[in-house]
Amino acid sequence: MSLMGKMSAYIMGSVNFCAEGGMYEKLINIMLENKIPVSKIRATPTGFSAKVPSRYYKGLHRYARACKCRLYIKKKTGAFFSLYSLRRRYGILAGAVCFFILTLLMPRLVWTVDYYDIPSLEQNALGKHMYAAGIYPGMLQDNEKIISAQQQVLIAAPEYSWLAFNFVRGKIVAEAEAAVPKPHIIDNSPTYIIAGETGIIKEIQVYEGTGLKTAGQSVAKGELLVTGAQQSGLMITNTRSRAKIIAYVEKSYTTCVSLRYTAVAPTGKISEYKTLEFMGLSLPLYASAEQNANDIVNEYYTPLEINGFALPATVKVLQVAECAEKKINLTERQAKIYAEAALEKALYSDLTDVKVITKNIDYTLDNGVLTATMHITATADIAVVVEQ
Amino acid sequence: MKKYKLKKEKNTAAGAIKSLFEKMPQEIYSHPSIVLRCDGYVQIENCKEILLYNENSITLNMGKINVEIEGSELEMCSLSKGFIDISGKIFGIKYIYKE
Repeated sequence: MSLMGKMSAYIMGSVNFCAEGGMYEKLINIMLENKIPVSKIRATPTGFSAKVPSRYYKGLHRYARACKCRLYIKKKTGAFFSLYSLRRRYGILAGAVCFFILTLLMPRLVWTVDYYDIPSLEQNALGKHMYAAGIYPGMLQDNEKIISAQQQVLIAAPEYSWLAFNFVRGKIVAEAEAAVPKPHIIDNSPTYIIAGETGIIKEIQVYEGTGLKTAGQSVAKGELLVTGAQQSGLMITNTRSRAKIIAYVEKSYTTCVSLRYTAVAPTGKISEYKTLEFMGLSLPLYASAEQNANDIVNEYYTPLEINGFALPATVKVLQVAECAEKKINLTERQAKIYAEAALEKALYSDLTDVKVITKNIDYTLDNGVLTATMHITATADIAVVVEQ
Repeated sequence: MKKYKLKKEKNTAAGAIKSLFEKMPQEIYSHPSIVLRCDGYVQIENCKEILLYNENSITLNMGKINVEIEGSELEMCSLSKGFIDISGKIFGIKYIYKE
């Protein structure tokens, strides 16, 4: 039988049946006379088995009754019988219809976004900008939208000097070129330098302007150290002042740390709320999102994948880390560590180029509050530039 | 009594071409016949009916005679009006003359 014949036989279906008892030879003759296409007739101890197309089997009983034979089915083969078990399973049909529609839309669908020669660290950030501009797996190809998205992303991400999104065979290829950082332009407006702290000058290096103090001299806070005024004949011109003035300074910082306090801290419970984004449609995959004002929220996008196979859709994931007010009890040792860290932070944010020579911290515990006072002797740059 | 002379058919070109398109005599197609192959395959043409069928023999009504095919695992591969294809191990074919 040819392949086409086999296929048509499978589609139409066939029945392998047995005829027993009576005048079964007569039944064969009747089938022949009535042009029933019977095949594979094989004798059995009590009759025969044969194969007929399923559409003829119903009529055979009439002839079998005349021959006093009993018929029963041995095996049913064919597409109809194979698919019979799938009856009323409308989901499969709906899936097939969806797949057909998807196949029609496929040439215009964006299946994935590829980043060409962009470091993986930058890809996430760029992906977020692209998503905000409407470029994501699952969107329909729209050249105008792609061009406008390029402009939007360029404005939103100044770290790039040039961007290109190209639609190539179902994927968006993103190319980017990093922007050259702006050169630092020195402001040449006239300035003078005063002392930011009271101390004794250890070292003074004047790059521009005229230094009024030398090393070893003491200075008070706000005292003029370098001036930009220069006299040439009768003319006084004000220029820019630039200097490095290192001085010995003495400073004190105080901080208070409560041993018992209430803080908002993560409870460890993390909830994820996913939304399916496809062809401009947004389908939330959750009933309701619970989110409090204190919670830490992180939003990211990931392509929809099934067993590693990327589908043309994007899943927007909203990750909510639950935070709640928590009473914290510190030990004295812990409070001292916190206090020292706070004092150091205050010191380094107050002075520049600090080199600590001596450091002394006094702690006082009173009513559950630890008060720490730090006395330091250090060298630091005390130059403060002031515009004229 | 007058004698009629039989006309001799002339061997002409037109006659030769005509003979090419002539219909074969009906008897050629309607004669009961058996085609035997040595690989255990028998083709029966113009069989009237099946008289007996079991695992070891098939008896067929071929008109003037009955034919009994003896063997084992005999299978009628395909059946259509008057034509039967039989396969299996064939031991012998017996002609049974009707009285």
